[in-house]
Amino acid sequence: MNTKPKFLLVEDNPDDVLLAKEAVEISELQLVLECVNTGEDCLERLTDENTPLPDVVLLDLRMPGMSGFAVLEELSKHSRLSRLPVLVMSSSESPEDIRRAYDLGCKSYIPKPVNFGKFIDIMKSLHHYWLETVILAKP
Amino acid sequence: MSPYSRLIQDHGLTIAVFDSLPHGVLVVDQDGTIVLANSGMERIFGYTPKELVGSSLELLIPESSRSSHRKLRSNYLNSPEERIMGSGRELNGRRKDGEEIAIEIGLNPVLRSEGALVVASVVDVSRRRKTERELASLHADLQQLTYGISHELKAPLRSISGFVQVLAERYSDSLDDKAHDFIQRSVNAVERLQNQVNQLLSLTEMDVETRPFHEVSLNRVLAQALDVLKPSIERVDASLTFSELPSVRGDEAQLLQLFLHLLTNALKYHRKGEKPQLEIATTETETHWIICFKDRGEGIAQEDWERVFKVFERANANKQPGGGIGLALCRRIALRHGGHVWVESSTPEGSEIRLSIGKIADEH
Repeated sequence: MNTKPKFLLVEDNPDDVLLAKEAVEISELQLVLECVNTGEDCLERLTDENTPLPDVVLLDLRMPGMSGFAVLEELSKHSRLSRLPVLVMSSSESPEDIRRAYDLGCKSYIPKPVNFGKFIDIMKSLHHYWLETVILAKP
Repeated sequence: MSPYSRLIQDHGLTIAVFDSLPHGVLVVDQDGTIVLANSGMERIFGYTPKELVGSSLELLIPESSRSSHRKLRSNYLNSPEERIMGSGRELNGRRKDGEEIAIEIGLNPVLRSEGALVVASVVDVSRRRKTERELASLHADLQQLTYGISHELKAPLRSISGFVQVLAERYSDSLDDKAHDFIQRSVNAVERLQNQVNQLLSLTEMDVETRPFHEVSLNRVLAQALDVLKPSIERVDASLTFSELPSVRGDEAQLLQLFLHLLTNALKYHRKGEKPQLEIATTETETHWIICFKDRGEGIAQEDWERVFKVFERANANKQPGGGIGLALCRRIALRHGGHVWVESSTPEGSEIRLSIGKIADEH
């Protein structure tokens, strides 16, 4: 049985998904990266009570169909999901997007870096902070 | 018979001149009755001067603004003064055929023993206002376009840079030094492009974001900028001298951006083998503060003095890396602060870039 902690990546851009997987592999991070490509799939995955919840959700904002904002809004309606840390990862650095994401309950707002080396560093520090430093609530 | 008829008959020539004016001219008594109108009024409103004289001024005012106009007119009669054309709000008039037209009005009170008269000159500005609206809408479209393009560019940039670095990581052992060098060059190029995209974004975001102005101490802005630039200042061992800077009304984040650009340029374009020297001084005019940035850099050829402020233009294009947007951004920021930024002088011994910012209103 796989006991590695799990990040759920919600990302519509296949290149970004692939690069995130590469980053986890190259940096040999002890975590499973599960990926869904739409906001709708993310909700379906998280509200399915038969599948264990991930430890952390990495959420893109701009996606066709349901946006990251809409996902955040929906998640806050489910008591089971309200304790799940959702970290936004977006290429937008507009102050308005940042404010709105925090208002809707995201725990961190991470600008997507262009440099892959920086992205690896971010993944390492997320792993270190969310899986090794803080204690998360049991679902 | 109007008490003014005699006056008008006695001034045949004046009337001819009056009628030949390109503007509409209207004289109204204190009750709001038109006592005199020229042919210009007919061209604008479609009523002959004969039809207008004796009618109420309200004839020319759209129904929706009649009651507010009545109030404005009585306020005006209580303290009549000259009002320059175009200085007030946007006004509309109503033509004989019912069409509403955009107009501008200038007012001049004439105090006579028979009672106060007001002379109004009227210009039809419908075409101008239409053009202004079209221009504003085009500008907004362009803004949206640049914003969209910049955002769309970011994702593929991330892919290119990312996969190239994955290559270097994964196949490190099978790549020789040359291949690694090529990969590094690609990564650097993508990073430069990314910087340009970011600057382009800030250029378009400037009009989108309208943060309110506050009182900003330029001393503090300079201190922040120097703090950010500390590593580069130390690296090139630059020497800086500056005097007390004023406080202005503005957007602190944008002013910081502006200072950062000007200081970075001064640090970047210094002569080979020499330490950059930068002097910041302040002078003032009646209405503006002027901040002078003097460097001992390699200078800008005179034909490039204006060109460097255009987007994607740069003096010494092949010599130095850089955004090509930075100074354009500086100029936009200065403009938003009621000022300007320009090359005051430049020789191979150094340049002086000047920045003007409007003074806080009650200072002058």
